Amino acid sequence: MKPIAEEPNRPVTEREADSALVDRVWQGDFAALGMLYDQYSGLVYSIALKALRSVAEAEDLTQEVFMILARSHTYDPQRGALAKYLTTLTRSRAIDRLRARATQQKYLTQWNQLQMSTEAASPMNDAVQQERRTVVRAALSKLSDRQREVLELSYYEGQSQSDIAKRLNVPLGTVKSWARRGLLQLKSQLLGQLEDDSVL
Amino acid sequence: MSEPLDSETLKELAAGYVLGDLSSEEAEQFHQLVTQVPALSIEVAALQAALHMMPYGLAEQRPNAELRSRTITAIQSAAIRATEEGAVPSGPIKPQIFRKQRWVLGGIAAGVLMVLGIGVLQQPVKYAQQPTETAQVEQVWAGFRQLLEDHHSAIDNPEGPADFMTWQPERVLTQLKDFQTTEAALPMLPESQAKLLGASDCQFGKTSGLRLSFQMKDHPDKAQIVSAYQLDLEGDQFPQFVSSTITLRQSDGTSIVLWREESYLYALVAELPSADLDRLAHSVGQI
Repeated sequence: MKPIAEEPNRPVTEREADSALVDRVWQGDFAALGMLYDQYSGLVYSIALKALRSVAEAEDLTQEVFMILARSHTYDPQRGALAKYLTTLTRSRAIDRLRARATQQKYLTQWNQLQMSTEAASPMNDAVQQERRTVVRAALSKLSDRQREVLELSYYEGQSQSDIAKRLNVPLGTVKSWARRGLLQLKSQLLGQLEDDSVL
Repeated sequence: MSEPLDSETLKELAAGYVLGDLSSEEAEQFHQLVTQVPALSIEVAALQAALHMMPYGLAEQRPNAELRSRTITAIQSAAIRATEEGAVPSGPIKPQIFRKQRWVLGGIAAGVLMVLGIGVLQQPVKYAQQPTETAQVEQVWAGFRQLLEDHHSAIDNPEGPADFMTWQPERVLTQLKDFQTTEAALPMLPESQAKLLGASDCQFGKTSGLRLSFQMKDHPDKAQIVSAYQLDLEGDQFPQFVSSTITLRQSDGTSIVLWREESYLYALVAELPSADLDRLAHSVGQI
């Protein structure tokens, strides 16, 4: 079996370019910071908005993530691409915020709200990211609604499977099965699609 | 094992590992199989990569254009503040907006304890270049924050909590390249209570060490991860302790227990009640 590459359609030179930009930011170059913001703020903000469901909180988290990138010196290009670092960091911080929210009831109320209206989205300029989005959306669309829902609750909101089972009012074993089979199917879909597109 | 597992079962185990939902029995089975079935590691890597791709499936959203200038201005201001305060970043610098964590034992309380000399923290010599008690408390607190952040990044890592997987303590010594220690000095939790998942090198400023990741055995439906740290105090950023342990609890439910043994600082961090984590810490051989 051929594993999915860590960043399938992002050449090493681009990771090096990002790393060089981060180095410049750490030296106090705020033009470089602006370039990184332009490149990745959409990805960071999308994850934050998906998890937190609040424009204000998503903006606050986006600012926090770039603050960490600029000030903490914790990004290590040897351990992965910048997109992966920012994705992981954003998700981790979003889950921290969700855990800190006052009451479960408030959270459930937010969950039941319809998809919130947000500012008109502008397309990502980066063709690579756009292509990746297309591929992943197609793969996710092959999952059942329940599989996708369980994976999203687990991934973006850090919900335990027992919590998800209570929320969806289904047995824990069912949630576990949806999550596992959903992930296996997602991998299978991505593997085939990405190989077809020769982006591995 | 009485009979070979079929590939579907292996895939389910791999998916469960990546999702962190293996039961104790499945975790045991997984760790036995992972060295025997090379395809299992490949499957895990592929599943981790697939999970990591999920954010690209989100609807495209752009933050308000005004946020760009607000963010850059905030970072510039933080940099200027740090320069004015003469701070030299040796590790993560936390701007003001991150200081939202509220502790059961707050920073002021810790400072008072230090000043009165009855507390758990004491470091009269180590920070001679830091002239004030406040600076000392800040530095100590930064150490706690680093541990908590490392723990949270480990348990939220879609690729698993450890740099490499092992359930054998002796393999920790051969796999970790950056930190020299002995098997006897490792912060091993009792097998009856927790299962070793893996280990990672750690670096907090000048302080190097390791993190062992354990899964509690009494949480079958959700991987309850405990991070056990062993840090070398040679590059000392941590205090001398008067008491045997320090136990703290964060408002989000994360607890931390620290203790010293010879030249090492040990810590356990987990989303467990502080009393439970304290009991767990006392079951580690080094206390």
